[in-house]
Amino acid sequence: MNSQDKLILKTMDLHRQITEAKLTRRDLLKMGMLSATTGLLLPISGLSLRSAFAKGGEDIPPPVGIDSCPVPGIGKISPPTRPWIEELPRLIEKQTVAGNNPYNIDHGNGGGVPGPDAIGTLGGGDCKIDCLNSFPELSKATPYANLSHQAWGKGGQLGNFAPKKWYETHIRQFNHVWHRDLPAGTTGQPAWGFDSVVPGPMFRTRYGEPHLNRMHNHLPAQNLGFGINQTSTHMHNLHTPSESDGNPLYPVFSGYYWDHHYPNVYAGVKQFGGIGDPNEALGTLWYHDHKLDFTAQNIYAGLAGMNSIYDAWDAYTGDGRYNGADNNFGKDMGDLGDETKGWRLPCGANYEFDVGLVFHDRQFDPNGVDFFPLTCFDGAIGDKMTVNGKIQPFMPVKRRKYRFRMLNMGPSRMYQWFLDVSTPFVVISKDGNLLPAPVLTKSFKHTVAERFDIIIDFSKFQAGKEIILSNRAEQTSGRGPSGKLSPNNQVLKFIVTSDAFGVDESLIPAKLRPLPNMDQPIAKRRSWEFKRNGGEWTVNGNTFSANVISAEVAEGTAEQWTIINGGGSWQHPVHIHYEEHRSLSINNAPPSAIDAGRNDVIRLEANMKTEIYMRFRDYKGIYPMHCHNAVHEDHAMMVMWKIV
Amino acid sequence: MNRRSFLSLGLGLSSSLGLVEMAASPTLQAAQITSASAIGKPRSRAAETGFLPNVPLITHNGEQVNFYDDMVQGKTVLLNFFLVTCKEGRCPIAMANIRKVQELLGERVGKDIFFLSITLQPDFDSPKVLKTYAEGLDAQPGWTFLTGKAADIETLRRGLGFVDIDPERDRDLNNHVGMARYGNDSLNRWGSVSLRSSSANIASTFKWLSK
Repeated sequence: MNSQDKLILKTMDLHRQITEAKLTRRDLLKMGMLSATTGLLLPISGLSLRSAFAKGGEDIPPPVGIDSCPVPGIGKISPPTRPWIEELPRLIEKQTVAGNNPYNIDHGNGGGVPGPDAIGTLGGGDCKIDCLNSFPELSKATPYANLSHQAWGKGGQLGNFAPKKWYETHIRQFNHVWHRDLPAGTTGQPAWGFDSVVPGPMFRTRYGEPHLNRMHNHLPAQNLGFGINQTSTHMHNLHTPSESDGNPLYPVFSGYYWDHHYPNVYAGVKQFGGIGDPNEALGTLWYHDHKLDFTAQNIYAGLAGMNSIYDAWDAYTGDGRYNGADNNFGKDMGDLGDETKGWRLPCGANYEFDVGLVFHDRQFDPNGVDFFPLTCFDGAIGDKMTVNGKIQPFMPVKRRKYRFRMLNMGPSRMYQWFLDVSTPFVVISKDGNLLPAPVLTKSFKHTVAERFDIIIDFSKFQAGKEIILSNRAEQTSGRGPSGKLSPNNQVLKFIVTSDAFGVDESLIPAKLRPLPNMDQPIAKRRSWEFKRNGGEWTVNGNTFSANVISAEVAEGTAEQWTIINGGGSWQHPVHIHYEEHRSLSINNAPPSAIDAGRNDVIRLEANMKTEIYMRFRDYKGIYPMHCHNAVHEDHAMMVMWKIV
Repeated sequence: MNRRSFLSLGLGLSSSLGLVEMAASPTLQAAQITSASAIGKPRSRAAETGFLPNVPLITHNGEQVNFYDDMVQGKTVLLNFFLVTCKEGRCPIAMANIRKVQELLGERVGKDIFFLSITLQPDFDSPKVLKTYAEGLDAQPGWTFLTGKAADIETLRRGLGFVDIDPERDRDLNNHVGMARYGNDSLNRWGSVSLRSSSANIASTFKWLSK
């Protein structure tokens, strides 16, 4: 037997031992069978491979024409398109089903009228039926049998929020024009969209007005060269019971629907009674596909939209103190979308001045065909900047104040915004949650999945003035921005018009929503490290496994979590589903005014450590925490935790 | 230091393992041209975009194949990279896990699901070494171990994106990406799964490809 044969035998023997003993890498390290610096000890001692390596040698040059991750300007590059040719489309305003009558909702193939429990068959209707059949483990994953709605028809304080508004959404393939200069011209090319638009429609919903959305999946088996015809629509980041949250593990197959029930309550229903603590109100939400392993591809295909939720039912006294005990409803302090009431934020009739802006970068192949870099483990970075589905659009604006709800839809780009005028951004919310007071800034960072509401006042500009919104964060890979500011990367042009608009009754209030207190004692501390490890994306050293619950949290408790960037210069926008959290410290220092509000995305920059305070109130079930660089997420940078 | 450049050193290991002969084999050249399956069947979009390079490879049974045409086109596959002398303990765990997945999926493997494990150290992992290795793992039919010319393996590795963005780390053979791609070529469905996750989790990914 020669030395090579011996080495193979030794290696195989080791493999057998490891297999039989079901050892993990950590076990091997503990047992001394593996050294962190020199690796597996046994086979190496059998043959002097290391001495061979020590000699060094020539590298194999990368093969020509194979770029694993095309980089703008280096790898594949999209065909040219002229800026400011396409007009910014407004997001379509979502309407209820005819007559707001649930009987007008499509029953699908084998389903029925929406009800508190899933209705369907194994051949169609509500996918929960098929899901439980295909994945029996799911019935164990939530404490609620058959994934029935926790907040509808169950009675009691938490279960009594029957829908008042009824919607349905059809997810379909359709043709979309990203820009008329692309070879596809005005015919466009296939994309996937909620209600056949990209981005999906804007929902305008209200606290205290529960709604139901039946999401029909009609996607074709043949995809766009990427994507999967299975969906799970996450409402980021509503206070939603687990079964309607859009969990990655609850797939909706094509031909089925899923009933999402949104009680539209604030966090703290049990604690505060009624519909919870108004200081926990959210404002700018977005919804997107969250299918396990395919989130980045399906979002890129077009499956993302927005939802603004308003306080139609508010209970503040003038000093911002919660006054629910006094039953002090409707005291004209809510953000009602009416510019003469509440905080008088810009809105206007038909929401004309309350505008959703969805930012998303894309790549096209040299023939102009839509392209998703399946090969990139690190992120998908495009060279075409789109807003509301158009490359570098322009937007005519009137001489008055606008509220822009800015969403970074990803999948991997992180922005830093600038205007080319001296007017600052007036930031009124982070992650859609109104801050205690507006923050004026000339520039701000905007990572994946974050939302920022800003006010821009165009009243001081003359008609014809052009103002350009630019992203100057230099970024060529999924690693994150380099830290350098590029000279300019123009994204959106505002053109001030001479249109008459009447009187601008909106205000930039000095004070907005107060922050909820953090007086509940911390029941438990946990630590989560996000790290690239062995060419994989890990949380606390582990890759995602669908059958592992990484934390069980008791309902009604508060916890302190430490979120750590484990190293390298990678950035991870960490998203935690369910309740908003508060940042206690970032790198042991107090957070900035913007970051000190309520958040659901953590901009986890290189070597950053942040401590957060989070509560887990009201509903139960499983929720994920993951990196929202959706490519990292799809490569297993996710954990599932459970409220029990 | 462990460097991927070891692949190109020639080291004298390869001559005794039959790889020099393989590289010079005229039939290997022929295989590139005459692969029967390449004729007439449309290539998937993933193949067109360079994600699935059609490089010539050789199996642990000594068969010469073209990666895309013969092993992937029209098929549902799980594919990963490994090396027999993997130092980090990552390969033994990953490969043992794939073996368990094969058990869970039963007869489907070899019928409508195929496992492909490609070596990153072809100079050492000759067909003969791979055969011994496969037998040691008790790999069942439907799981193919592949080797080939170093440059072709490199093309494949880059095409599939098993690359570290940092060139220094990328050169370190023991830092290779430990995930697997899984996909259905005819439907362009490609996802990734960690081979460190449970075998049940890995097996469940195939549910996404059949509906």
